Amino acid sequence: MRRAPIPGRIAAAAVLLLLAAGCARPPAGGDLGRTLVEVHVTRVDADRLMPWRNGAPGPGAGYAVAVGTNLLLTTEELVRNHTLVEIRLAGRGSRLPARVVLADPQSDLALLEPLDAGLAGRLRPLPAATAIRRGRRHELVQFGAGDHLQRGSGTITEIAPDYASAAAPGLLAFHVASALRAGTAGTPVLRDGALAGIVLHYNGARDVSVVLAPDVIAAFLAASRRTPYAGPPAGGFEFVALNDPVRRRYLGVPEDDRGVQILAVQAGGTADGFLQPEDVLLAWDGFAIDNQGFYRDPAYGRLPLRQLIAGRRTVGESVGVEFVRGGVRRRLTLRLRGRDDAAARIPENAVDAPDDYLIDGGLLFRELTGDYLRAHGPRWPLQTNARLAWEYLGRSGQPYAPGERVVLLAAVLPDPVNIGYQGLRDEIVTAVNGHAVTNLAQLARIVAAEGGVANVTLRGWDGVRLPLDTNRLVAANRRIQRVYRIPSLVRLAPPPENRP
Amino acid sequence: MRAMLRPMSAPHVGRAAGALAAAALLAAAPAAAAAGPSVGSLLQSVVKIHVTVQRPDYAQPWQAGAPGTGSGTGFVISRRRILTNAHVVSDAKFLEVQRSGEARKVPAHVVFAGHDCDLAVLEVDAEGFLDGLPALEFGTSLPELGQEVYAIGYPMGGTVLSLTRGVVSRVDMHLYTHSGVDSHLVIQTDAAINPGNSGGPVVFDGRVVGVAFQALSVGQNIGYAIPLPVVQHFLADIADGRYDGYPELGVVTLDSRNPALRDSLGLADPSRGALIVRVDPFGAGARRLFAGDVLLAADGHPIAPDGSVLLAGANLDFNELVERRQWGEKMLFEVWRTGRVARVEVPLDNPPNPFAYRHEYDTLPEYVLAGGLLFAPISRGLLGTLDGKDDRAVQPVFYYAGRATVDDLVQGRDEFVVLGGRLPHAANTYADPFLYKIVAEVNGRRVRGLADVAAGFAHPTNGFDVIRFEGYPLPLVLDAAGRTNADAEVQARYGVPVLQRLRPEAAP
Repeated sequence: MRRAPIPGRIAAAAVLLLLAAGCARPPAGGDLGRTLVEVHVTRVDADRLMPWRNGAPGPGAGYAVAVGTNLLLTTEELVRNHTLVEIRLAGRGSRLPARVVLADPQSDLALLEPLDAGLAGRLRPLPAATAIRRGRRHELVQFGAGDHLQRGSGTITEIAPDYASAAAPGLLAFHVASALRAGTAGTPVLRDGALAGIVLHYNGARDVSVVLAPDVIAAFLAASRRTPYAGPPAGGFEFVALNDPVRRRYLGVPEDDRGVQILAVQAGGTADGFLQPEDVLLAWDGFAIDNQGFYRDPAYGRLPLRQLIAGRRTVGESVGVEFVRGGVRRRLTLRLRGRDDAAARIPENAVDAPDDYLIDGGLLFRELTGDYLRAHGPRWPLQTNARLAWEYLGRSGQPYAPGERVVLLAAVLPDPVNIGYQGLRDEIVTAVNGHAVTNLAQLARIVAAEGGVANVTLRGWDGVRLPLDTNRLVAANRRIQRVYRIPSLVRLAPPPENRP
Repeated sequence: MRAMLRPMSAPHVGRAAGALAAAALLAAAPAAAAAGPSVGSLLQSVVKIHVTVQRPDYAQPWQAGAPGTGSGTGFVISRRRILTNAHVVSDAKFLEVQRSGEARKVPAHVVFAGHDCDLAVLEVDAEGFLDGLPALEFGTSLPELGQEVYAIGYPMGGTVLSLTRGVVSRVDMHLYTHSGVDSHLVIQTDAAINPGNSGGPVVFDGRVVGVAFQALSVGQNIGYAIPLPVVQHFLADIADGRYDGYPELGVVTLDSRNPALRDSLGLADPSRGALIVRVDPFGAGARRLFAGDVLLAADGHPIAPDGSVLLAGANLDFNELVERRQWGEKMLFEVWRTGRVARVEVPLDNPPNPFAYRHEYDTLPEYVLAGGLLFAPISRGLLGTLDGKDDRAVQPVFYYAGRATVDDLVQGRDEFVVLGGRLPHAANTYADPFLYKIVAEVNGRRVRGLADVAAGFAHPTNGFDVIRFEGYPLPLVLDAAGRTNADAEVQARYGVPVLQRLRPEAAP
């Protein structure tokens, strides 16, 4: 329905990584001339409210670092919605084309491949650093004003999850305080000539560069060697802290500091069919979970549960979980799955992928997504249609059928064929042509099979159907497409089985 | 459709600090048109109203808000009675009336207040105070566009009458901000209407054609007056000694111009018929009119596809016809129903919609305080306390308030109860994530209204209070004994005189 989920976002070609741990050597003499490149991106974001429209092309810039002789690593956010990617070597004026081989918003990492024959296979990859430690000094590298490589050393002040990315909140990161206030995405952080992380952003309030941890990079690179790329595993549940002693007694869980309470379980996710709301999760994969949702990581100390789930195992592996339900302690083995945003009843689309839509007779149909709500501004919970905001915010934990979505009549493009309906906006569609509608693809099938939208039923309209004259639809669609300059009246992602 | 809006700018009750002297002078009053009394002769019957108000404190409903003072305008309509705006005298603790050009002020009291139409009648307590002041005459019809009118009053708290001139720029339905919910006809004028003008007459040809009451905060010089039909409706309503208010039909219509829609309905006449798409269960139309009906005429007035009727040369929403009826009267609708014309008589006698969320006045907010947790029914006053709170957290309150009947959330409810606040105490330390959610159950007792919350707390569940909320899978759990013990400490610590205030009929 929408942008293909993570497995579908792998390039068709297998990713060949030369960066097997230990096989890459640090560039001699600290020469990073063919290791660090500047990345220039042209990106085009879709118009969230009129999904056939594109925003104006905009530039982005950052860095990428070689992790193979023909592969560069940068952040996913830098190359998101790109239309053109170019790279530049230090001291060189020319920009060379590159392509995105793999981009994973959940790890906020992407792999680029130079397309220039003179550079292909001639990059000098960095070896991977092992675990980081607080207090250690590291080196940040980026292009200086004179286009030479600028280096600055800094100390790791904190190892903590980063919540700045909407697509990947809670990624394991560390903070580096350095005179080189590096905030450009993709800036490499080195220790002893090995890649210890890449900068996500600069935190001005704390005066530190926030750097993606080597563990996330290693997991991403390891997963990228497997086809299909599965991304990091996800628990497929939401939880809340369980620090209220009264609640603990009520739930019959020990009055120690262990356990979080399950709030909601995502359909099709790892926990689907196993955990349920109100369960108290005590341990995951042998690690005790504290009442704030943290575990004690052997390398880094106290880290959030997300890192335990995503950082220590891969999709397909099994983990044991321990939980309390109804006062009874239970154990289960779960097979890890990735997070599939498309499986949600209301997908987030935190990566701003173009939204699917269908226009018939000027009626704009689409599905409710998190990004559609957020497109209404920072105060969207009160500024969007209250019913839609409630669908998103107020249905945590409620079950839904696979493939179920909230289909909207988002707007009406005024035309003689829909006269009288122009004021309709953000109504929830319950049926089209008398058929109950559960998602946009199904609506599209109805439209295709029956020659168009003959009538629409909306929630809260007591069964009243809004008809369109199907005999006039073909001409009207042609007219609407021309008048409103709509490139295509429909955009639908291929069904999962047809995704690349 | 009656729009549910968040509170707008305050009605223009005069609050002038360091009041500026009004510029208008009696001597400057222009000569009146030939047909009516001169404007100057009217001025003596326009009085200044001094008011001390005390609004409820919805955030801490056990205590009253701070008293404040203000002023407005009124005009004599009979020997002892004065007409003004309801918002001038709402929540008034003390009222005084002052004649133009006199220093003396005399106490007065509210006899009738119509909050849905923002009109009130006062009676002065001093016999003879208004003697010699003629009751102002009312006009006989709505003024026409472009007609010159005068607004008379005491803007910005001045002590001398002000008179401003403008033209009628529009007559239309408009929201009355005093209730926050109701829409009625208004006269829009560019005559300057400022705080303090409220309740003053708007005059054409020496006769009152409107009562100044609100202004647009954006735009230039856009003021509004309550026109004669609304004033007359109010005065006729109170004639029997009781104010009943406006009837509500409660139907939502769709413009039925669409040819396919008209074909599907079998409507032949393209000039008539608005499609009903929803009937409010609390409206007078409930169980008499239905979604899918097409309204062809109301009381003999043809209804256009967009729901308008032609009244005195103006296209107005057909609800204006309902507006002109008194509560308890009947309307006759001509309806296209399942392919034939039906005549439907609708008694306009529905009780007020408890989920309309008008601003409430002259009443104290209800609440239950348990273990420092404040439970209160949704009200417009409560909504006003949510400004500045986390938008995601308060969204349920606005959803339930705005979509109560549309999404049929009202089933099994007399009101929606919200966990609206917390007075911090060890008994409620972990309750913050549950703030502003709609209470569904307390200790297994389904919450129809606030009284159920109080009753639910009387029966803890195995030593716990288990409070469940709409749209959230986890309950709030309190230690029942701890909650009970906390009550006295909370009362002492935060100065709460009583732990609950329930409507007398709702008390368990």
